[in-house]
Amino acid sequence: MPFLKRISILLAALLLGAQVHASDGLQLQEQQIKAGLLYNFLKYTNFPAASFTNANIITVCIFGDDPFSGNLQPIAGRTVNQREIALRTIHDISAAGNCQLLFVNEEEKSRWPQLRAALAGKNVLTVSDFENFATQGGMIEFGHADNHIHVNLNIDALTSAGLRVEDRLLRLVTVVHGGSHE
Amino acid sequence: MFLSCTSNLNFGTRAINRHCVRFFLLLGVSITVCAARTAYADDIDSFALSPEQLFNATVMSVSKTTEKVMDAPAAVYILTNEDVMRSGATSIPEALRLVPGVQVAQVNSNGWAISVRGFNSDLSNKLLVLIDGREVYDPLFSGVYWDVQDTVLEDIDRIEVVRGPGGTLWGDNAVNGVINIITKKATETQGNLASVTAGNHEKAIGEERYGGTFDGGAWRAYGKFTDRGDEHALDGRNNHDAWKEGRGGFRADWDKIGTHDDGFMLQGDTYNSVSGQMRFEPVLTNGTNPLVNEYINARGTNLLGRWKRDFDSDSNLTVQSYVDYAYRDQLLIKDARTSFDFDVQYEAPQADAHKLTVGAHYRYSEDALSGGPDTTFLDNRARDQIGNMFVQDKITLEPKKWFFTLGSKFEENNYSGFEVQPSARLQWHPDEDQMVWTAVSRAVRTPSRVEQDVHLVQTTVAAGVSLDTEPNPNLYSEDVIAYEVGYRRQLTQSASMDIAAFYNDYWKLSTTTFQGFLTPPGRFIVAYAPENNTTGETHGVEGTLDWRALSNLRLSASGGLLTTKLNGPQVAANRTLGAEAAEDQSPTFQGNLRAEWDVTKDLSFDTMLYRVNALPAFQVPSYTRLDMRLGWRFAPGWQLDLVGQNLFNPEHPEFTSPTDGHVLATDIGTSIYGRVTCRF
Repeated sequence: MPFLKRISILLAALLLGAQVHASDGLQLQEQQIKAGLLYNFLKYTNFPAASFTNANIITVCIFGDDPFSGNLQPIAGRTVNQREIALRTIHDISAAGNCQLLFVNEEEKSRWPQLRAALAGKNVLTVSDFENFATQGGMIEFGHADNHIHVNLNIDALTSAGLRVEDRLLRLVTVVHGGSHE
Repeated sequence: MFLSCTSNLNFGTRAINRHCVRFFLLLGVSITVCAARTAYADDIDSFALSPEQLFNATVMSVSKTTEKVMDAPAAVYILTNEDVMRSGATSIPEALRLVPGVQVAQVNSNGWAISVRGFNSDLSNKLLVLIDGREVYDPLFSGVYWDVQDTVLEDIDRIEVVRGPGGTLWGDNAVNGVINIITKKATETQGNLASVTAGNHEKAIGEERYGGTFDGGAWRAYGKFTDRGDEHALDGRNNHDAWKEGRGGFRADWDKIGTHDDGFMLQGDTYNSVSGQMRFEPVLTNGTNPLVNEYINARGTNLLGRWKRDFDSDSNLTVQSYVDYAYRDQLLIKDARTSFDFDVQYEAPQADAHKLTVGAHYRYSEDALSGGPDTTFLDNRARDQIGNMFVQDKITLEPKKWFFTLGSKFEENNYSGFEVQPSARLQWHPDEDQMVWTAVSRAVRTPSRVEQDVHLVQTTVAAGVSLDTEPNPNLYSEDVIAYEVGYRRQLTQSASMDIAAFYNDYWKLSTTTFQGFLTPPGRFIVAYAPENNTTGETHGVEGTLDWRALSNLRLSASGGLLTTKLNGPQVAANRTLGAEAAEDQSPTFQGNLRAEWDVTKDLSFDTMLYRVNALPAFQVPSYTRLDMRLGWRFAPGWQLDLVGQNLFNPEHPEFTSPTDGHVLATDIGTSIYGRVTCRF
């Protein structure tokens, strides 16, 4: 089979090529990266002990429909800082206060001012990916730049909610300021 | 991997040793290459990554096209890469079994009959198939040689199947549907992928793809070979239909060129395929039709470039051109064809209520034919040209609610002259989760070279006496007006449905028709020729229900009903030649149930159950087919797939060849194979 031989040569050439070029740089789906970052924010944020209704469970809520196309689901049942993660999808503003981390679906943008008011004084870490979330009193805003995900973190909103993000994470994000009730 | 070789022994095939040696040799090569590397993107658990890794990760470009297509007022079904990989299919035709309204029947080891909304044949001529924008149907008979349409399946981004006339936007031949195979951008196929497959039918498939980057873009190259063994015919004898194919290719994508951030893509493939089949060969000297072992050699090369400039988020200009050389040597015909194709498309920005798309297309195709003992031509060489333009306007009647799309294609070709293919589509979105659409369109199928130029001895009954098909240079295009209606709905966050109904009204269908008796010296010919003398209709319903029942379990059901009614001349001598034959060549019902289950993060288990009704034209009984796939990521970057197809089912035929009516069909039996994939 002469063409099989030709293909073998092609294969060999490709394999050799593979040795020369190392494939560096990770490529992930946007939702995969954001899901991973949510987990890390959970891990590197200090929540006051009083904010937990059940000391063994840390609750992640999605406000509105789940936009993660299945990428966030596997977070449920994992442990972070000796607490098991519970994942919930909520639609009522009244339910938001029981979450430690609240991800606000972009589509619920119009309800954010109401939601923000309801969360005043609660120890809830708020995250979203709609534009200017962090300047509108949100804490963590996912953005897009140069094919990478970046984060704007509103340190004032975070502090007034009684939360603290560890330096390890803080130095990787852009810190912005703005009153939590502007 | 041991299992696949063991199963091979159990299923008692020839050349076990040679085959296993090759398998382990390949496996050895893969191991050597893979051992040093770690996992690549697909396998990554994003919760295990550090914040630094996540912030440094590149975002894979999320295709907006899929979303866009699902908003289209047409019967569209998308097979995603995941669908293809989980189906257990080892070829493009096999993957198409999942699509509702598409008839897929395997003829033998290397041949498939595939159609959309009926008129199935191994030379189906009412369907357009594109691979990355390249038309892959052969103008010789306006059909697709499925044995040479292949690539590394992992590199397929999606397969879009549009049922119904696509003549307005797409190219020629899109009478009943368009199958659009789209491969991933090179940026999405970075790193190394190697896989080996072996089983009782798939003797060995080996593939290797590597993707890297260069300044300003990314590239990939692949090599693949396929070795499928001989199967047996319905009566048990060897069908000599073994199939070996080797192919290689590349794709390069430049992302941001010049001041306008233009995109450019260049890709090419080359292949060589050797296969066989058993054919009844008429021998005029003694009036017999002995079975002969026919060898088919097909080879080809293509090169395609596409340049795209985005003006705004919703406006762009695309220019695409390709050259394609294809050669095929068969008993009946040898065909060498060179095609040149040029296509321009401009999508204008939204202007008030209007969204305009215009395009122009030119194709030049040159062939050189030579006949076998039973084939002669009016012209051994042909130079064919097709030029067309299309214009389409999507009119917003009420923002986000009502849209009306009006378009038409105007074509000039040297077979049937000037053709107009208009279409009108109305869509209504009662809310964000629902859509109702309806459409009326006209499409034509231009006569093929075979119909206009080829003389063929079909069969002989006594010395010098034969039944022949004569060419008809005056054949017109076949015509259809299609009426369609559809409804799509997101039922809940995790469930969706899609249903479409159609009524197709055909006329001027080309039918092999009795002409009379010819008596050249020493011969007596019962002459037939294609004529546009058949009218008819098809109607049917297709539906899909998709439900992500649990975060790790997806269930789906889809199916299609089809009725074909044709009125044309009867052919008493050979039913497979008559007009009405097409009524019984496509199943009246076919459907499938699918369960995709992620047992654990590393273990997946998929089940596909297919039901296909009988094909009375070929005495093919109805059948139920069960396929299963077990996928296991046994180490970072490594995956093992065990696939069983046609399980718990006696051997059965799926089709016989209606066009020749002379090729033996294969009994399709249980196929078991193992596949080892490594990515790094």
